[in-house]
Amino acid sequence: MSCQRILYTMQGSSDNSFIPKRKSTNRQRSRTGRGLLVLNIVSYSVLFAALISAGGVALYKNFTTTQLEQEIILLDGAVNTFSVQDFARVQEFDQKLTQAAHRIQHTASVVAILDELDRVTAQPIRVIDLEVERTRDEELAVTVNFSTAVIDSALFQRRVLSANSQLFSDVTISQIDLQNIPITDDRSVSITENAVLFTAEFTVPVQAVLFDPAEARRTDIGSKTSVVTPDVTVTPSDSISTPKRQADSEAITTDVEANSTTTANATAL
Amino acid sequence: MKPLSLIVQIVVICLATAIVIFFVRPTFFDIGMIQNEIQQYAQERERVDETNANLAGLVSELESVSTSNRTRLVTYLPNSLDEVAVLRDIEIMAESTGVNYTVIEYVGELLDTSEEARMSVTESNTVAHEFSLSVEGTYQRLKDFLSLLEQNQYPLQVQTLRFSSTEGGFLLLEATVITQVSPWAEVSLR
Repeated sequence: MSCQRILYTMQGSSDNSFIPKRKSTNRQRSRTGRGLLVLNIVSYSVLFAALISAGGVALYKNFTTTQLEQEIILLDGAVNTFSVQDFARVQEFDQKLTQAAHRIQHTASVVAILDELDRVTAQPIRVIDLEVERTRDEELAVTVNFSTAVIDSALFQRRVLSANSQLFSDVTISQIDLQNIPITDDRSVSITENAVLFTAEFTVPVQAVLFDPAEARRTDIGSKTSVVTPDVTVTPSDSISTPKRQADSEAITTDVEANSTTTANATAL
Repeated sequence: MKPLSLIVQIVVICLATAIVIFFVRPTFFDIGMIQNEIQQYAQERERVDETNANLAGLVSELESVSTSNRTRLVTYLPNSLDEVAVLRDIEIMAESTGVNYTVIEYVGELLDTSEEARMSVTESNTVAHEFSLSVEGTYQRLKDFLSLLEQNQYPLQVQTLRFSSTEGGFLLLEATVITQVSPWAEVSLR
């Protein structure tokens, strides 16, 4: 009974006390401390992370720098293995091949033109003179002065030149003159006859008369041949074979199987 | 672990941030640059290796060409002109075909300064040397002479040609022929 009274009295006195009561701060203290602890952990983590990353990138930079040095050494080694002399040899060989191929592709055969002219010249017509001029690597300009007895032959020859030849192009017949000119017959007797002189001009594309070593006329003549070139000396058997003249001195035998040196050149290229 | 004060924590965070900003980030940038350089060097090395391999293949191909063929090539396009040898060759051809020569002479280097000639030189890049000759004989023999000129081991290209009649039924052939020389003479092909 007395204890209960004392407790009641104490409770009542505390409610009525003029001394300000102190609020309980335990919860606030614990919340602030926890916040500081978290911040502390974060700051430590950030600091360690920064330090570790700094160390890591420093190491990695060192590693990549070493890699770069190795690459430079490898590149330097690869560059040093490049042989300038070999390169010059290959370049020279390539250039020579290109030049030789260019020359072979533009080598015209004048003999082919003469053969064609022989073929298309009508029989009674005579060639007085003939001029061929090469216009660089494209075409050959041919001028032929013909002589015939009758003007009909000139007309016929013009038609033959224009129609019957696949080599000649841009055929022009000009300077048709009727003259009395001295003609020497087979018995060396000079006589004077009426003659028709006319000039035929035409062009021959180089590509139309390309020199073909396989079909080249191989004159099987020559005895003391030793073709000396600027760089090499070729034995006679390599160039021109020994003579085999026929009884008729005009007829020159051709040897199809003769060693055409240009064929060998073309094969080499 | 004893908790740090707030100011110290802020200082630590600022320090960490400074480390990241002033060291880690620039170093990353440097690493990126170095890696780019490594890549470029590697690419260049690959190209150099490829070039070396190509060159080795070409050298091997060159070596596979027989010596005789290489000699023929050098004969066809010599590095320099021996005009005396060319004159002698033409003389031999004239004698071989039975034509009489009156003139066989070396004229000189063919200089054509026209635009077309310059284009042609750029394409072929050879130097032409001109020879003048005048031979007399029958038509057939002159044709044989021209045929031999065409079959020579080095080009003797007929530049101009003129046939005209002479006394005794013979023909006079006046011609200019040119031969080509490749001016490249740095390294021997042999």
